[in-house]
Order: sequence, then C-alpha cells, then structure tokens
Amino acid sequence: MKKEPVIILKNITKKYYLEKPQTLKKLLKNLFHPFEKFTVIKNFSLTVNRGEFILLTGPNGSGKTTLLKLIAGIIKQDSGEIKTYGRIVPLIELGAGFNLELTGRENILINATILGLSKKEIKEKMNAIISFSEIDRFIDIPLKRYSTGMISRLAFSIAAFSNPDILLLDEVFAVGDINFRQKTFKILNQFKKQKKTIILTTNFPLMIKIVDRKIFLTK
Amino acid sequence: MFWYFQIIEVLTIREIKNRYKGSILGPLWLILYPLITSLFLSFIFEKILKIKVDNNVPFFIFIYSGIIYWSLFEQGINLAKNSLVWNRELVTKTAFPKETLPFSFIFSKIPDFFVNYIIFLFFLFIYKINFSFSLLLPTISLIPLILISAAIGLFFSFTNAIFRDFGRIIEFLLMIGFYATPVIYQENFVPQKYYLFLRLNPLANIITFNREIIFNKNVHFEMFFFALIISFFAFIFSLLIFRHFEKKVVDLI
Repeated sequence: MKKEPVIILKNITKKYYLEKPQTLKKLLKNLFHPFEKFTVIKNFSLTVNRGEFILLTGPNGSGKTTLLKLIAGIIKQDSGEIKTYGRIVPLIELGAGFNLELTGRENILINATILGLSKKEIKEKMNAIISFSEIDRFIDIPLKRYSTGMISRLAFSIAAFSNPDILLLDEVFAVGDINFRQKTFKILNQFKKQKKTIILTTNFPLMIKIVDRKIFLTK
Repeated sequence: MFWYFQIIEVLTIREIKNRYKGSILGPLWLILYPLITSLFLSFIFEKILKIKVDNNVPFFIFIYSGIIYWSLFEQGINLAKNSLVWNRELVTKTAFPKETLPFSFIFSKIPDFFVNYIIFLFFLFIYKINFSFSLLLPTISLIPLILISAAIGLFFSFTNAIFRDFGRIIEFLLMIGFYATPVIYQENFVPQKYYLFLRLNPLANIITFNREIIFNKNVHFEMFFFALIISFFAFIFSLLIFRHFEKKVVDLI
C-alpha cells in the first residue's frame, strides 16, 4: 500500500502563557521581562498517513488537546512547521458553540456551517443527522431542555455527517452511554473503511482493534 | 468564499433570534430606544434650552434623523466588542475565521436600522416634511456606516478579549464621540475652524449628508465619499491587525 502523508508535523514547539499581567505594575514589568511561558510540546515531529487511525494517550496536561488544536489550526505553534492535506473536522469538545436558547434544528445549521458544510449539504443531511442522534421528538425545542447525553449525541451526529478527510476527536468516549459508544465505534469503523484519517485522544486505555498506531505523550 | 458568507449569515440570524428570546417586549425594544431618546432630548433642547435648527424642523425629527445612524454604530460596537468573550467556546475549540463573529453582531443590527428608518419616514409624513425618492438615497450611507462600525468593533473585540480594559475604553470613547459628532446638534453650530475634524469623522459626514438631503434637498456627495474612504481604510487596517492577532487571542482569552 502506498503511503500518502496527510499530516506532517516538524519540530513543533508550543508554549502557553501562564498568566496575563493583571495589574499595571505587572504589565510594566513585563515590558522589560516578557511573559512567563510554559512549554507544553517540545520539538515534536509526527507524520500521519492517509487512512491511519491514531490513538493519542498520555496523562493530563501532556498536550493531547493542544496537539489536536495545532493540527486543526485553531492555535499557532511557537516554532516548527505544520502541513495538512484535506478537510479537517476537529471535535475538541462535543457541542462547542451550541446555543442553548435555540432549537436542535437551528443548532445543526450553525454547527454544521462551522464544521464547513454548505447549506445545500446541510439540507440534504438534516434528516440523517436527526435520526442518527435519536432526538427526533425534541429536535424543535430549545437545547436548554436537553439532557447532557442528548447534546453529546447531537454534536457527534453533526460531526459524523460533516464529511471529513481528517477527523480529530478529543475524549469523545468520556461521555454518552453504552449505546452511544457502540454507535460511535460503528461510525469510526465506517470512516476507517473509507480511508479517512482519524486521531483520537483518550485518558484511559481503549482496546480498539482498528487502531493502527498508539502514541504516548509525556509531560 | 461562499462558506465565509454562510458563516456570517448563520451567526447573524443566531444573534437576532437569540436577542429576543426571554424578553416580553421583544422587537419593540429596537423601536423604543431611538424613539424615547429623541423625544426626551428634543424636550430638553426645545423647551428648556430653547435652541432652534434650520428650516424650523421639529427637534424631535431632527434628532431622530441622527440617532438612527448613531445607534447602529454604538449598539453594533457594544455587541461586537464582546463577541469573542461571549463565544469563548467557539473561539478556542472550533476552526473558522473568527472575524465573522464581530461582523455578525454588527450585521444583526441592520434590520433594526431599516425598521427605524421606516418609522422615521412615517414621522416625516406626519409632520408633512417633503417626501420624495431622494429620501431613500440616505440608505446608501449604510455602507460606510457598517464599515466603520466593523472596523472599530473588530479592533475592540480582540483587544477586549485579552484585556477587559479595552471594553471600558470604548464605552468611554463612544460617549465622547456622541458629543463630538453632530448627532444632537446641527453641524453649522460648530465653529468653522473645527470643520476639519468633522470631515475626518465618518459618522459626522454620514449624519450631515443625510440631513442635508432630507431637510435642505442638497446632496453633498463629497461628505459621503469622505465617510466611505475613511471607513474603508479603517476597516482594512483593523482587519489586518485582527488577522495578525487572531490565533494569539485563543491563547490569551
């Protein structure tokens, strides 16, 4: 099988600001001694090929989420180079940006738009998303009346139908019941068959047969 | 490109829908604000300070003709400055062009403008002030008005996300700007030597351009172009700074 790299990370270093100067005195100090920074990822390189399923593990604070955010282009690295090919759908948090006052249907339109779908595609997939999420009855009431599980299901359903080339999943198995988990596995299996690239982060060991590579991040 | 405008559209509609949920008077608020402001201020100017404007235009109409532009500007910026802070999750956890957030908050004020403009035309009709097609000409002012509101809104959206002080600063600047701009007074009350400042102020150009058309039947296109050019460059400048800091904001918000 020919290898086709879709994500290339070269010597990535990412630092975070520990704190903002909260007082004028600190701000003036900082002009001469720049912000204190905390290194999360240091000199990290990785090449991911098309169709690979990667499991990213490691303790809290080892930079799993940061790595996904860097690949998705949400944040910028301090040094190093990142190249990606194809449409990336990041799922850093299930239901990020959901509006609780609006209905499920209205939220599908907003969320799917942000994930990169056109209006026409959303219209075509609307019914499939609703039936996959199993909230048909509640789809036209505000999200604030939903349970946590319902919100997670809706969020994952939108992502599942967002037609990604590269799917970045952050701790999606921390929520949802057995039934929902099985459904997610099913979708991931399907994606794998379609040669889609998947990176999944998790805190606890997951025994999934379809994983091609496990990467362990340390602090 | 289509995607970009679809994001703005979807976020704008979200903001409009969200605004009136959980309020009893709902959209009535958008009519009440300029109406009550104009009535109250016209009472002060006409009855207490006894000031008169050209052509004996009723003070209420005169103020209303400025307030509708000013309120889009002010309310748009006040929403836009918080657009990133209020949508922290979207900013830090999803990937899309973030400037669409402040844009959509400003665009969400456009329907309000048209509603108020129609009410304004209605009052002109009641007061029997000349009523012709030239009265629809002022709506082109919406272009520089949106550009300048977006320019200032963009700048304060990301600076406010990093340091909340910028939110306070813009509140203060807007209050000063309200008095420095001929909204509640007439441009020719201002001494000639300060005219340069008025021409550099897009809001002053927009408001006076409109009043000249409606009350004097004079079309001062040069004012419109001043407003357009200054707003346009301010907008480009602000957008470039925003893009430069866009990803830094995610770390600092």
